[in-house]
Amino acid sequence: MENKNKDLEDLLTKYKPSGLDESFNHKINSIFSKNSDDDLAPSENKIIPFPFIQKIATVAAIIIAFIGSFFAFLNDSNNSSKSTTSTATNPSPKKDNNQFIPVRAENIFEGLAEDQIILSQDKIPYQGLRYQFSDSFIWKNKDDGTIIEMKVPSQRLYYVPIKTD
Amino acid sequence: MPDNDLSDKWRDWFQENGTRLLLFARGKTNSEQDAKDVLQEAIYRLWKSYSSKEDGTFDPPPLPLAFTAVRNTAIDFARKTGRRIKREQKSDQIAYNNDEVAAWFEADNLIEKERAQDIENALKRISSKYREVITLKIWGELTFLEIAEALDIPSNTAASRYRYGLDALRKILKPNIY
Repeated sequence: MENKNKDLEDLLTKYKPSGLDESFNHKINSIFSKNSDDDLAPSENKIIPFPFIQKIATVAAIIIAFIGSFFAFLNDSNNSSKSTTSTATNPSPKKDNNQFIPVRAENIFEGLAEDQIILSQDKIPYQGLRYQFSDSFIWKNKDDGTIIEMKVPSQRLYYVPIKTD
Repeated sequence: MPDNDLSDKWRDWFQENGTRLLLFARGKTNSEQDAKDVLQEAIYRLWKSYSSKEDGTFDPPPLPLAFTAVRNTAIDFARKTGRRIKREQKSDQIAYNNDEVAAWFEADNLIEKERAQDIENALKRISSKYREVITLKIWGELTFLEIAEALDIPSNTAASRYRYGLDALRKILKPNIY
């Protein structure tokens, strides 16, 4: 095994890596000179010059962003001051002496009447049934016992399918 | 230490080791120009970090470290090149390959040239992990311990890769050379 490898190793060792050409050698040797930082750094490490137009564009973008954020800040501060004002002017429910609280709410059925028959899109007949209600609400002032009563008539219309077969 | 002495030391060091470093870089890249770019970048990195006057290390680096630098630079380069090729494919640009063709080995006459070309082709055909170990052992003249250090692998692995690599090379070269 060793001898077998020895033959091949000898063969490979016989061939020397090819030399460096003059220009490449010069490039590498220049790296070792004093001022190599500026002119001989590989291209990706070089500083890319920033054109004047791009500088102006950058400054303009910064100014626009600044103005935008300034106005956004102003808008925010106005909104917060508005909400503060409205909270201050609204009387607190706890401090209100004329406070009415609901004491009763009723829904009274008053009657039922047949309404017209309608035909749905899928050709099924529906009978309309109109329910009559009277809704009443009572609020009472805790302090002076004043009562507010409100009666509201209401109707509810239901459509019931009619069996045809 | 004066700057001129320092530069001369590095120049002598590169004169002695440049060809073997370039051969290693060739094995790590797809073209002669890429290999030169990788080697130039690696030497630049080494010079910047090793010639620093703050830490007082002026001497050129030990050879295993130089090979490691070439290897790492080649990996970075491959990543960048991969991204560039993807970009070019996306934008339907055509990448022209004006690469120069350079032989990896020196040869005096036509027969030697042919054999050198066979070895180069065989090296290109074997796995890159075998190729790098063979290059470091034969032409880099490193020990298995130094190879292990340079490639960040156990020395037993380096030795076995070397053996497998030689076997693979022999199979390819046999019809032409043996």
